[in-house]
Amino acid sequence: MPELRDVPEGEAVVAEPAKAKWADAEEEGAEGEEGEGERTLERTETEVDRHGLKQVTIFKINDHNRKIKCTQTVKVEKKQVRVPKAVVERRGWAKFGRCTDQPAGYHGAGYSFSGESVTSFDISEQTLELKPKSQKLEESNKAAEKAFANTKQEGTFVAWKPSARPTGADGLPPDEDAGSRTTYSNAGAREWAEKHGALGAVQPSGGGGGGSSSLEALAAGAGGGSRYVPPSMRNSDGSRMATPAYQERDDTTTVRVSNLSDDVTDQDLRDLFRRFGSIQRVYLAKDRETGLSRGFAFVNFYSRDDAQTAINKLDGHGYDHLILSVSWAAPSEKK
Amino acid sequence: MRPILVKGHERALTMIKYNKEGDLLFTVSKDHHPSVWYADNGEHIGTYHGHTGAVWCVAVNESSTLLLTGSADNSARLWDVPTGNELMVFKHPAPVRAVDFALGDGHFLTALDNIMGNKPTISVYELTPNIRQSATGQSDSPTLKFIGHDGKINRALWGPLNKTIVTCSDDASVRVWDAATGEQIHKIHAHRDKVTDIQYAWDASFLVTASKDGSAKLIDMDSFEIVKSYECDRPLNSAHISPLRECPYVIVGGGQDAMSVTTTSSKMGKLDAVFFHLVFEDELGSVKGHFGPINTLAIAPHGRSFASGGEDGYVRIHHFDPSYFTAEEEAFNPAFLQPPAEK
Repeated sequence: MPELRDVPEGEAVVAEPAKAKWADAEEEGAEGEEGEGERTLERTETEVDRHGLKQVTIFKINDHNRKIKCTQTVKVEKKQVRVPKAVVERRGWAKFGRCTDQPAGYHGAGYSFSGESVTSFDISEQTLELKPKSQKLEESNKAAEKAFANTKQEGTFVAWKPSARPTGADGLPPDEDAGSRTTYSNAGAREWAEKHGALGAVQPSGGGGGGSSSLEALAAGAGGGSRYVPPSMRNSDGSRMATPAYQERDDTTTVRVSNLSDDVTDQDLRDLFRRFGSIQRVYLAKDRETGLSRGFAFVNFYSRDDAQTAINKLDGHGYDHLILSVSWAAPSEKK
Repeated sequence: MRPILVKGHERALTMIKYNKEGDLLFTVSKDHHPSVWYADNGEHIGTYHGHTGAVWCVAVNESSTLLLTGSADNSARLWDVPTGNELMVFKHPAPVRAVDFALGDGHFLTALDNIMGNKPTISVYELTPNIRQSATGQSDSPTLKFIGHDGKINRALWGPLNKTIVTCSDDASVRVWDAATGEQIHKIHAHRDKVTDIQYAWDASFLVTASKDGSAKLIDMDSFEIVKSYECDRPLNSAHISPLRECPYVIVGGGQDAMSVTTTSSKMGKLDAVFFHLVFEDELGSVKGHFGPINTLAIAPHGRSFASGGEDGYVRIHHFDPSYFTAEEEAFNPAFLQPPAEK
């Protein structure tokens, strides 16, 4: 149904009614009858043209007592349905029993009536998704969701903390225990390490350096030579490299793009920036809940010159109905 | 889909049945008046007046002209479908729990309850061809009568070519009888609890059972072996096989016992109709809506809709959405395996 309210006199509303479900049409029809104070003065229909279209013109008086004209363009489609002869005959049956007072015959889909028996549509739509239960369970893995739900809190991986809070000999939590001076987090780490057998070689730091992290000790143990060192982390003599194997990202070739629209994707950004030079990495900030872009991104080029060109060309450039702002990214803080 | 809600009965539905073309829906309930509806829009055509007790069962013949109902008033009645006239009353010593027309309308059967000291008896009656015109010549006594089962008979059906009679009962078995002699041919130990319903696949090659033990079984009508089992987590009252080849589903309905409905919420009651894959036995989906257990359920012979009748007194007619008919195809050819649609 087209919106009829607040249309100035003389103006026509042309509506192309979508092919509504008959169930909805029935309900809306009933709604219209009930009121809002609209009165139909005149209704004219044109013949169906060769495209199957017809114009319905209705003059009405609306809520505000103004006369409005409403024009609808309706597409008429004829659909051939084969019905067995016996069924056609049965559709003309007179009602009997408790329904004797009802009009004879079949009144088509969506016919509603009120007698002693009531037929109506369910108020709610029922959906039937035919998907195996096992597959559904897989898709909504509750256990995994639960584990990762914890990571959302304050950005820490609480899920990996030992669940039982370790206590000292006197029953107090260890960080309050002056004797062993281990901090709570260290104790947690050690408990984890002990559980996994990693502390075997390392002496539990009893006297000296009791405050030092057991993880450090773990790292020291690993450097002892007997441990396996992955090839990527080996020095030329086979000992473990002092620095982490991965390179620090070079922030000097990164540009920051902001004022992006919601529906920008990684690929869109790649396509946009590729023309200025090869790209190392594109990071588009996305909303955790909706997965939509949060409006800014970082594009990491291989060369600083390319990055400079991108800034020159794209800063202030219109993109997706918004004006981009492209600048050098502020160097990220060292952790 | 938006189900059609049909409220025509004051009490719990006991059985619903489509006619052959699937345009009429017959419903019987614990109130005394069987009803007939246009299945496409749920329009009430009429009621059949005569029974004085709860009506337990209904059957309609091939040409949708004769209706047979069995009732707790110790009678089975034969009706003229288009006019609602009562043609004949067949008196019984106990409530009639099941009725069925034989293929060709030459015979029909009735099955009795085992209350009041009565043994669960199955009777076969002969039917005169022009019973609609006059009841003269119609005998009201059975041509064959035999005692079967150790418990109440819940449903009885004629076997293929009227050679056998298949019954299910509270004694947890499904039995096959010779329709000419009344001898027991097979006893299928299908379930651990009451077997509440049996219904054929469209060509009567398979039989699906529903039981209070929470499972439905598919029985091959050739070998009388259980080929498939559909496990559900609730007592079942009804099951039916979809007739469409592209939709190999079994729909089952049930729910907690009627007496405990008021003490649990409808969400916990498992009152939805559940769809199983016919072959893989997977639970696929469900349709909610009733606020009492589903007592009876039937898929239209054309396979495009199904109806369920509940303890709540409502009949719900569901016309499937187009996606239902392609779901199976998509499951085997998921979108990511298909070539991308041209833009």
